[in-house]
Formats: sequence, structure tokens, C-alpha cells
Amino acid sequence: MLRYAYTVAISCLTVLFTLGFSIPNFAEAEESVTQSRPERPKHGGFFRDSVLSSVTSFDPVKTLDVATLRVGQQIYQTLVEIDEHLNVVPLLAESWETPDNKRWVFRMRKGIRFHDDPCFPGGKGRCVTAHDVKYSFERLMNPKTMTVGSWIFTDIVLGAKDYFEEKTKDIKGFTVVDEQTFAIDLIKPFYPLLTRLSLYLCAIVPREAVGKYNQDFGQHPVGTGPFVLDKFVPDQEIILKRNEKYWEKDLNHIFLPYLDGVKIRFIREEMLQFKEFQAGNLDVSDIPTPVYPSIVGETKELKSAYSKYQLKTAAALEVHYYVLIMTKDPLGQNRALRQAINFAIDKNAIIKGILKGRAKPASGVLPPGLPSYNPLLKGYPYSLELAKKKLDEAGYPEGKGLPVFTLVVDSGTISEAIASAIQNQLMKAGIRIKLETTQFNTLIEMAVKETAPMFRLWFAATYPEAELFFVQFLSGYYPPLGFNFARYSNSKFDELLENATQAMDEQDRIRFYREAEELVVSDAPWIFLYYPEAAKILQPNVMGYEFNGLQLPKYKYVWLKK
Amino acid sequence: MNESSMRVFVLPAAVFLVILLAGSLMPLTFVSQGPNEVDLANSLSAPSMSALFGTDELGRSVFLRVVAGARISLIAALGAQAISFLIGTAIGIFAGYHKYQWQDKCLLYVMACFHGFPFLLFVLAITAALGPGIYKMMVAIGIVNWVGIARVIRGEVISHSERAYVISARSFGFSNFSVMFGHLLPNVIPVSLTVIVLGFGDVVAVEAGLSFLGLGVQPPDASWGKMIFTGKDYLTTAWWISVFPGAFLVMTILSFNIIGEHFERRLKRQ
Amino acid sequence: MIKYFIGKVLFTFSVLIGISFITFLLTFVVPSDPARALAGIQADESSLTAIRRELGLDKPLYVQYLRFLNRALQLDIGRSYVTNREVKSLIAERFTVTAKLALFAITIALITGISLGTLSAYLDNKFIKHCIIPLSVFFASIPVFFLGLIISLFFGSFLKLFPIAGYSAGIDGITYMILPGVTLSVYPAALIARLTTVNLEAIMRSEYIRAHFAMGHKRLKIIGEYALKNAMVSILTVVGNSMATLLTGAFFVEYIFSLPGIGLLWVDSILRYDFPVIIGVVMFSASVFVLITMIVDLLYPLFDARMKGATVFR
Repeated sequence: MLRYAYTVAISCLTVLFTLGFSIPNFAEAEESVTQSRPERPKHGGFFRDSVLSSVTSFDPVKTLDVATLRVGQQIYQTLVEIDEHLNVVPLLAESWETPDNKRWVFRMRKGIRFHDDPCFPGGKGRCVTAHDVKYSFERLMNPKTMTVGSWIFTDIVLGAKDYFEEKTKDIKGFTVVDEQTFAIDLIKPFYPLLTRLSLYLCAIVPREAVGKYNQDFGQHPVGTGPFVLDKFVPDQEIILKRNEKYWEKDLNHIFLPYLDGVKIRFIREEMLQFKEFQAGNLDVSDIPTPVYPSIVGETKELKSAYSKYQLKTAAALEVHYYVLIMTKDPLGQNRALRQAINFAIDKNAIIKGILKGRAKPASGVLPPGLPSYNPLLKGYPYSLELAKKKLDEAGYPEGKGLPVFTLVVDSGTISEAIASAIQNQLMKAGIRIKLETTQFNTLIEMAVKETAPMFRLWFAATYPEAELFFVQFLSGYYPPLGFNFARYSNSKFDELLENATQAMDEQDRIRFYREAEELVVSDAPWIFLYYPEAAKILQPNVMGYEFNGLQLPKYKYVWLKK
Repeated sequence: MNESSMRVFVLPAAVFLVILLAGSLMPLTFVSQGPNEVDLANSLSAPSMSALFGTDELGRSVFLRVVAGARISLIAALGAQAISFLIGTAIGIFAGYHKYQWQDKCLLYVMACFHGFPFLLFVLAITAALGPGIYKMMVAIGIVNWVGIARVIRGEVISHSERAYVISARSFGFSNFSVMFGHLLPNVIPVSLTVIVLGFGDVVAVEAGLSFLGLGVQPPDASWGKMIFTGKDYLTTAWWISVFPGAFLVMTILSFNIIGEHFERRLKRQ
Repeated sequence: MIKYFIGKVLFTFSVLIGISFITFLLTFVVPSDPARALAGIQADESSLTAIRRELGLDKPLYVQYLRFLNRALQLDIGRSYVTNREVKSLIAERFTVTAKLALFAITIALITGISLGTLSAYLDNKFIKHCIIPLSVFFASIPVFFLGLIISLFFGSFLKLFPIAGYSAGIDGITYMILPGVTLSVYPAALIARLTTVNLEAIMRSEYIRAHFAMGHKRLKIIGEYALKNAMVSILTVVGNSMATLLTGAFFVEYIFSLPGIGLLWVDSILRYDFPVIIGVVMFSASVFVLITMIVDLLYPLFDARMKGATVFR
């Protein structure tokens, strides 16, 4: 009898066991049905990216370089952010209003916590309040922190300039109305305030972290973002891990981010980065110019050998140019000379031959993608004839009597190639230049000290506003505190820019901006070169990677298909 | 041993160097397109009849740039070694003449200190301080490289100091300076020159290395190191930009090494 | 004997002091202003003066040197201008990578070089010798950066055998070391191969070795046990001397293969004009080099039977 019982029991167990194993099959069957619906983002996985230059410190007030911005933006957050269509959308601030265009009142979201960190009591991150906003903004204006972002508020916020000059202990224009409400009082209406607030420089940081880590605060970021810093070996790699307590949800009410984390390697060269991508060790990469033609066809589609990957392109909000220092004679005094130089440059040949078509010739200052971009602006199309005519007008027929100008460029294959080509082109008009290459940091130092008459520079917008481009021509905004490297000064221009930033109506703004641009172009303090096009190539399983002209993708929307 | 193995290569090496020298002396304006002539329409074209070594990213002839690069490399090597020669021989003679006295000991100490710096490190540091440019680079290499020559010369002078002509010159009352530079110098020059020639290979390599890093020659001038650097991004698409200057660089260094060793052997036999 | 040891150590120590002084002098040749570099581009005159006073830049030269030396002995070289991290931690981090690379390269070089030389001696074939020596001269003439490019192109991109960039600290990181290690090993391998071949040939003809033949020992045993040991002297000297070349070669290799070692730190700091790091790396490398030379010099008598006055190996 017992033996039978055993046999039955074991048979039952065996049947149950087998059934147990087949149940997943049912589940799978169910899944295969749901797969025909549009895919939902899957959680998990590490996104592998790389940066081309070193990230040294995440401290928002010290950061201007693209590499740090890209990574830091995942850790720290600002009141507002820019979405993929270049519009300002709420982030830490959930709404705002400005009844008179001079006082802006921001309502903060409730319940957003800083990351857990030993700098907080008990190690738990506390909620963000309006006090943190005031603290972060005043820190940005505090010269003792060696901030590079004081220009953001100096001329527009009440009391900011006095604070920066250490005449007052706090900034009158920043008010904590209550725990969740923050107000900014401006000296005069300034439309681009919102977009400026989206800059990484304006990130909200907790005073506890600054107090605890002091000089090492840059290596111990404590923010509110979708990722926390897990490992940071400068010049080697950065590992970000998912912030389990992140507050933001997607449209389906699922908490972001989807990824488990992000691994960012420091790979100093574009070529190496691309080769690692091809080897499958990176999920995203830039496409180096030398190999671009063999990867992307005329119609901006991937060629057959690369068709399994994904391509994302965007017209970068960037302008490349050579600065002509206006304080140096004869360039500074002689407008016809500057115009002659501009006419002598064959931008299309350079774009086609060296940049492999990855740019548009720059007729002016504003790149396409901004509402104020003027497609009808003529600028200086290539004309050797006009160049020679202008040279005559300038008093240097056929270039006789012209000194040899020194052009300083940063060392890099493309940069030097362009410089050599331009040197050649100018020679045909009778203008002789001498080339000097140096590291980028040194170039900036030299430009600040005005040690040469011509420098290669480029300007990449960190927020999508025409005003940012024009700040480079504002009187008094000279380096090192401002970006007016050309040291251009024109009161009519200043007036136009002022009108533009105070105009609340878009059409008015566009009118002022375009007039200002025409003025600058005809004065030619720059050699206008090109607007580059940015492109990224992605592995087939990468989804949710948004790429716009700012080239600062957000990882919180990225997910990996299995 | 070494002799029989390498002897067969001495002549080809010498021939190569002579051709290189002749080529680099040739004024480049003879040819229709100079090495700096940009032709964007024809950039990155493969070697062909019209462009022997192909064109680079700006459409310039790689062949002409290799020739121009030869000139730069040879001038740089010559300049740097000349400086080393002057400093090294003078100090070597001085130290050797005052052998074992305090002057010698001091100089030996200084030489040991300089020798302690890895060569390229020192040159790089000085170049960083002085700034880029081919002449500054020559000076930088020159003032670091003299140690090797100085040591050898010192050894030579010490071995000569017991010889008849030196002792007799001293006893005749010639001043120290005159003995050093009137009598000893002519006799140690062959050794000095041998070391110099042996060092050419190293200097050419260093110049190329510096230009590779961007610290030597400035654009648009051509230097082999610079061309190799620029061409490295195009290795898969336009290999000729790096490979030709690289090949010439290797052959030049090789030839200098072969010839230098040959001189050394002949000297040893004397 | 003891006198020899003490003398060498003292001399090396004084050379290190000399090196520190030269390095110190270098800080004055550099064109950038340390005060401004520390304060950042934004600083104004008053903060610059304050920083100068803090750095002691207004004191006379010898005082500054002593302060410098004092800090250097405590291993405090200051902070990088660029990353603001302490130089000594930067160097410590990077050094392991470079050390691994150098050891790897030297090992390959020794194995390859000695094997080739031994092979030539064993086969006693003139043709082989006539191949090895010219090939060694050829390979020793290839500048390391060009070689690195070719190897990276061929084995890394065409054949896709090994990774060409990056580094990982664990055991799995060894694949990242292979291509750079091989590149770095070529020059010393060529030197060692040539030296071994030539020396072995001479040694094989000496009376000492002929005696072993007469005793009936096998050829390979003779080479391995007796001949090689005598050749070791010159081989080790060469290795010691080529350490400097190895170090600088490592720099280029690290640059090309993106290995985060001292060499790359060096190149980056040069290109960024990050002087505290430059000074730190120079002093560190020079010290290492001098110390290695001293060790090689001290080990010399162990191998050279003549020096010790007795046969060490039976």
C-alpha cells in the first residue's frame, strides 16, 4: 500500500514539476502577442558612451566645457530644461509667471529630493526648497568660488553686480517667497532669462555638500538628477548609476530613468572612439570627418555596410569663425580690409574638401535652427574680384604694404587643414598670413591677452537663444569675464541688442536681432566660416536617444532593446 | 661579427643619404606645385602618375612634402647636433684635461644629473617652456644631448693626456687653453664627429616625435613627424599620407645608424 | 666592495638633489604665470598678488628652492592646474599602468631577444646570424610612434585581434596591454637579440667554453648554463641603459593606444601647460631612472666574475 502511495506521490510531483516548467511557456506566448504592439521602454542595462576631453570637476559654477556638461547634466538639475524641439519646459520649477516682465515668480515642485549622501544627516537626501535656489544662484555670482558664470545674472538681476563686486552680502533680486516659491527681480525686462536658467551653471546644489567637501566638491556631486555618480576616475572613466529615488515619470507613469546606469570612458580621439564603436564596445559615437563620406551618403542615410546602425543628425547651434581683434591695427581701423579678407575665402571649397560637406557656409552669426536665423542674409560669398576691389579701397592695392598677420589656431588635423587652405586662398588675393598652432587652452589665454591679430574660435550655444550669440559683440563684455574676443564696440549694436532682449513680442525680437546681425556682418569683426552639422551613430538596440542642435543628449529617456 | 653582417649595407645607406641630401637641397620652386600648394578638389587622391605619392587632405602632393620634410629633418638634426657638438666637445675637453680635479668632478656631476633625465622628457619640457617652432626645438635638443658627446670626449682626452705630444706641449709652456683647444681638440674631433653622426638617427627620431605631438614644425610646413600624425586618421582611407613619410623616416634613421656604426668600427680599428 | 656600494648610493642621492634643482629651475623657464593659472582666467590683480604671496613667489630664489625641496621630500608637489587634483595621487594612479606596460614589454623583449640569440648560437649558422643582425638594426630604427600606428592599424583594425584603446585594471585587462606592450618591446628586443647573438658568438669561441665541449657536454646545455650567464652582463647593462628609452617610448605608446599611464599624463600636461604635473612627472621619472641605474650598477658585480675575484657559477 505504502509503495503505491509513494509512486502516486512521486508521479504527481513529477507532473506538477513538468507543468511548472511549461508555465513560462504560457507567459512567453503572452509576450509574443504583446510584441506586436509598439514597444514599451525596457528597464535595465548600462549605456556605454565616451567623452573626448577630460572631465575634471562637476562643480556647476566652474563648468563651461561640453564634456562636463554632458555628464554633469545627468546628475544636477536646473529650474527649467530644453526639450528636443529647443523649447523651454519645466523641470525643478513646475510653473512660473511674470506679470510685469520684471518680476518672475517660480513655483517649485514638491517632494524632489537630493541624492542620498553622507553630507546630509542620516545620509538621506532632503527635499529641495527655494532656499537652495537662492544659495546656488548666489554661489554662481560669488567671486570667491572662482565662478565662470557670473555673466548670467550680472547685468540683469537686481543687486547682482553689487554682490559680485563684494559690496553686499546677498542679492536683493533673489527672494525666497516661501519654501516652494522663488522670485527673481530684474533691473529691466529680459526675455532670455528662462533659457539662461536652463544652463548647467544654474544647477541647484545643496549647501551641505559644498560645506562638507569643500575643495573636492567638484568630485563629489550631489544633485537631484536621474543618475548619481558612482565611480569617477578622471581621464579614465565615469560610471553613473540609476537614481532609485528619482522623481520624474514618463508619459506612462513609469519612473525614469530606464537604464541601470551609464559608463563613460575617456577616449581622447574621435577615430579611436569610432573604432571602439565599430568593435561593439560603445553604444554611441561621433563620426570622424575623414571617414564620414564612406559611412553617410549624399542623402544623409547610412551606406549599406553600416545600415544596421542608427544615424542621428542635427544642425548644430554652433558657428565657427576667425576672430579679428579690433584693437589691433590695421585690422581694427580698416573695415574695407576686413571685408576684403572675408570675400577672399571660398567657404564652399573648404566645406566640400575638408569638412566633407558636414557644414553650411556662414553668411552671418546665427545658425539655422534659431527663429531669428536669416536665410536671406547675403554675407560675403566668395569673390576674388570683390576681395581685390576692397583691398584697393582699403589702401593696399594687390596687398602691397600689408603686414603679415599671425593666425593662431588650435592644433588638430581639421583645424590646421582649414587654416592652411585659408592661408592659400588669402595669398591669391595678396594677403599673407603666418600660422601658429597651439593647444586650445593656450589659444584662449593668447586671445585674452590679445597677443595676435587673428584667432580661430567657435561658439556652441548652450541654450537656444540668439542673444547668446550676440553677446559676443556687446561692448564691455570683453574676456576674461565675457565672450567678446573681437573687442568689437558699436553703440548702435548695443542698442539693438538691448531692444531685442527687452522685447516680449517675438516678431519685434526677430526684427531687432536681424538688424543687429546685418550691422555686425557689414562691420566684419570676424571671418565668418561655417555652421557645422552634428551627427551621431548609434548601435541598433539604442532607443530614446534624442539629439538636437545643442548636442547635449539626456540619458533619462534612453533605453536598450534586448 | 657585426662587421661582416652590416658591411654590405653601408654603401646603400650612404647612397640613400646622398640622394636625400641632394633632394632636399633642390629648390622646390622648380616644380609647378609647391609642397604647400592647396588643391582642395584633388584632396586625398591615391598615388598616380600625376601625384607620385598621392595627395593629402588638402590636395597637396605628398611626394613634394616628403622632400620638403627631408630638408626640415636634416636641418633640424644638423642644427641640434651642431649645438651638442660645440657644447659637448668643449665641456668634454675641459673635464678631461682637468681629469679628477674639482673642475672635472663638478662637470661629471652635472653630466650625471643631465643624464638622469630621460632624454625626450627633458626636451619636451624645454620645448613646452620655449614654445613650438623648429629653431626652438633644435636648441632644446642641443642643450640636452651634449652629455653623451661630453662623456666620450672626456674619455678620449684622458687617454690622450698621457701621450707624448700633450706632455711635451705642457712642458713647452703652452697655456692650458692652448693645449686644450690647440692640441687636443684636433685629435679628438674624429671621435666627436663619429658620435655626432651616430646621434643623427636619434635626433631625427626625436624631431619627428616632437612634431608628431605638435611641438615642432608649424603648419603649413611639412615635417615627417607631422605628416605621420596628420595621416593617422586617414590610415584606412588614405594610407599614403602617413606611410610614405614614415617609410622615409625609418630609412633615414636606419641609414644614419648604419653609417655611424661603420665610422665607429673604423675608428676602433685605428 | 662596501666602499663601492656606499659610494654609489651617495652619488645617486646627490644626483637626485641635482635633478630636483634643475627641475626647480625649469619652473622659471616656463612662460605661464602660476598665480594666474591657479586663480583662473577671471582673477584680478589683488587676488593674484595674494596668491603670489601664498605661493611664496615673492621670496628670494634659494628660499623658494628650499621650500620646494621640503615639499618634494614630503611628496607634496602641489595640485594640477587643470584638474586641481593632487599631483602625487595622479602619478600614483598612473604609475601602475606604465609599470605594467614596461614590465610586459621588457619581458617580451628579453624572451624574444635571448631566444633569437640563443637560436643563432645553437644553430651556429652564419646565414641566420646575417639575418638576425640586420633585421635587429632595422627594427631598432623604427620610431616607436610610427610602429605603434602600423601595429594598431594592422592587428587592431584590419585583423581586429586586440583592442586598441582603453584600459582595465583587472586580469581581463591584459588584452588592452598586448598591442602596446608588443610595440614597446620591439626596440629593446632588437637590441637584445643583436647583443646576445654577437656576444654569444664570441663567448662560444672562448677557451672556457671549449673546455666544456671537450668535457662532452651538450651544446644546448653549454649555451644555457654557461655561455648565457656571461653574456648576461652586457644584456643587463643594455636593459638598464634602455630603461630611459623604454620610458619615453612608453609615452608615445600610451598616447597612441590611449593607455592611462604616466606617459599619457606627461603628454597631456605638456600640451595643456599644466606645470605642476609636468614638474612632478619629470622628477618622478628622473628619480626612477636614476634609481634603476643605481640598482643595475649595484647588481653588476654579482654577474661579473672578474669583479668579484672568483667564479660565481660553476
